[in-house]
Amino acid sequence: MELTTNQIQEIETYIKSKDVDYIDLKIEILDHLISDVEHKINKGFSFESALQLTKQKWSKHFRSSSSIFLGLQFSTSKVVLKKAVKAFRPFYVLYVVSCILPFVIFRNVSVDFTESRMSFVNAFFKTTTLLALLYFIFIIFKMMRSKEKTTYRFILKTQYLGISFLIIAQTVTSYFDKLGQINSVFVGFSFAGLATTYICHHFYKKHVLEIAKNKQRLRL
Amino acid sequence: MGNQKLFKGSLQTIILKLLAQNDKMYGYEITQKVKELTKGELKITEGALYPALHKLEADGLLDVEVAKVGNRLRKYYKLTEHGTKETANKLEEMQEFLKTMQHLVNPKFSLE
Repeated sequence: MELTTNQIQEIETYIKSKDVDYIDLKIEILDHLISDVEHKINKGFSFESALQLTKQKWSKHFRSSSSIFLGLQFSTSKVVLKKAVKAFRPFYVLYVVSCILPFVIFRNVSVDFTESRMSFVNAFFKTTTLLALLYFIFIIFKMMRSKEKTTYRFILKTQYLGISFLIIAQTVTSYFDKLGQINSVFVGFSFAGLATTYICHHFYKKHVLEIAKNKQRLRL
Repeated sequence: MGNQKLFKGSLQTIILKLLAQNDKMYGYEITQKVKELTKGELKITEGALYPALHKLEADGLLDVEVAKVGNRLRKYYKLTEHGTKETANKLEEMQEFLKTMQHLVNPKFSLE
């Protein structure tokens, strides 16, 4: 037996209340729940009992969860979080390395720079972090205007704090200390800011692509 | 069920094999087909199925098609050309793995 539009609407409202209405997941999860309910109705259950049993089965996947990879303060349903963590995991290594490696290298290696090289390094970090900061603001602005929910949008939301690295980098007057040695903390901040911008760029593109793919599929 | 842990690493191969036999399938259909073929021995959980399908899609092994079925939309998965080749490789790997396990679990000792 096929469910009526009203019964489907009830299931749709339920998955929305569980924060699973992300366009990259919604169609198949909604269809799965509907199929589950229909299967139970065919076995003799009423719609209400079938829906109740299906909700029980899915409750562990819809439980609000958070992950240390994306920040414990950001929570969503487990099924969305699982996909988000899987997509973000390769970038976690890049993030950690970009934060720690420059700090470790420049703290332990002493390199003498001439005045002109120092000016070049300062200009390089100032310019790249400024461009990254502007692009980061552009992404945040575009995401604020975007109405569609995707798993990638959720990941992006967890990365916005990374903009502070770029703001700090802009307040730095020189990337060198009084002895002419490179300041490992400031360079570390700049690299972390650039890495976060790259991560945001990647997931922003994925978000846009997912919307386009979804629109194309619905048109066909 | 202890067996579930053993099956976990083979989930992608199972999905690819099913799609090689069935042209296109949707999520719920995959779970039911596996349940039916294994007589309920293996139950693919929804939490494991969709991440595996999305990973295969991201790797270019699966293609997605959305169709209107009754009052709702349904997402069908089917193998790409690359996916068809990869299915053969994965099945071969699986056969090798099973052979190795067979040797380990049930070695035939000979006194000759």
